[in-house]
Amino acid sequence: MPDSVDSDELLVQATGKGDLKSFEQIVTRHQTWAWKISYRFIGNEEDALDIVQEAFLRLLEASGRYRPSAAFRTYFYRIISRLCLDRGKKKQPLLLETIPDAADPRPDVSDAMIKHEAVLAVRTALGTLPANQRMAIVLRYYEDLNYEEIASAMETTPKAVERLLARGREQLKGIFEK
Amino acid sequence: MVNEVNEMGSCVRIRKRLGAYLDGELNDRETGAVDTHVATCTACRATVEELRRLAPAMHAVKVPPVPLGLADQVMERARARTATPGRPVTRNSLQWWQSVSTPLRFGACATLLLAFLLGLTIGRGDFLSGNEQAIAAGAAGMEGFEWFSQTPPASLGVTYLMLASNDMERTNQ
Repeated sequence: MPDSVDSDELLVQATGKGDLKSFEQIVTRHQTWAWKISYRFIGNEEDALDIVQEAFLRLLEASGRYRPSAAFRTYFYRIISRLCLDRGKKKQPLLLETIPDAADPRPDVSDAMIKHEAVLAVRTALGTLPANQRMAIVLRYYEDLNYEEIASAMETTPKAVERLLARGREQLKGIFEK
Repeated sequence: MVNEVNEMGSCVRIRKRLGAYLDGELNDRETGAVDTHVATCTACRATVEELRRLAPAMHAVKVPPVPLGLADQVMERARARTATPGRPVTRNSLQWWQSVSTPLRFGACATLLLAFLLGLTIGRGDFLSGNEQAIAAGAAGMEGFEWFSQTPPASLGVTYLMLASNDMERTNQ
């Protein structure tokens, strides 16, 4: 049975053979970033929780077909992205939940940007973006993925990612003009 | 005036790529072109600044902590889906076939084999007389044309019929 230092790829392969202990390790390791992507995309806890659970269960079901030629993260990004996009097309996110917004300690961040109104404006603007633009923005800004990786996660081309990001940013930077 | 128009066209093109420029996704030549343009264009420089301010604004939005018991809930659902110990957890394309009982599998295989043999027997006869059938089909086609034809003399239809008749005569010889 794989131990705690096993790679994600090995754990997924073991999961595919019926080893639920390996699956549990995957869930424990990756629940936080899966949660962050889902929440940032969908904007409310209930739906985000649903997406994360469903993503792990899809991974469980697909684990037998998994080939380590694809990095685990790439594989899982694709599952989460697909679920988020499906959900996003059905309903617009509610990005107005009350979450305590801690001040960003970095000195280069202007005071105005860390004010509650600004945060609210970003959330609202993000919530108005079409699902695929929002997903590209989330993966770029919060996951720090490059265009190639975003394209792989969203099953599209880097050029299409550039266009999605350009349109999304065009709308988002409107928050500075108000 | 011409310079202004060129400048505007250049601005439109450059602005579309400013995001990729900031993300480091442009090649050296493209980066150089944007650098040169931004150095002289106030409007594009302002856009670059706006785009730069986006990143910290985005990061000011915080995410609530992972809900307590998320992993436990996932595991509970996973165990429910894989209730039989030792059974592979994965769904594969042949799973439906594995769930079919053995007599039914034999029945399905036998039916497929029978259908294949039957098809082979019928098709073999057709294959052997294929040439004759082609000639018969050609003749039927001609009759079809005649049935339609109130064809005026020297029309394309008449020419086609003549050519087709010649072909058939040559085949029969």
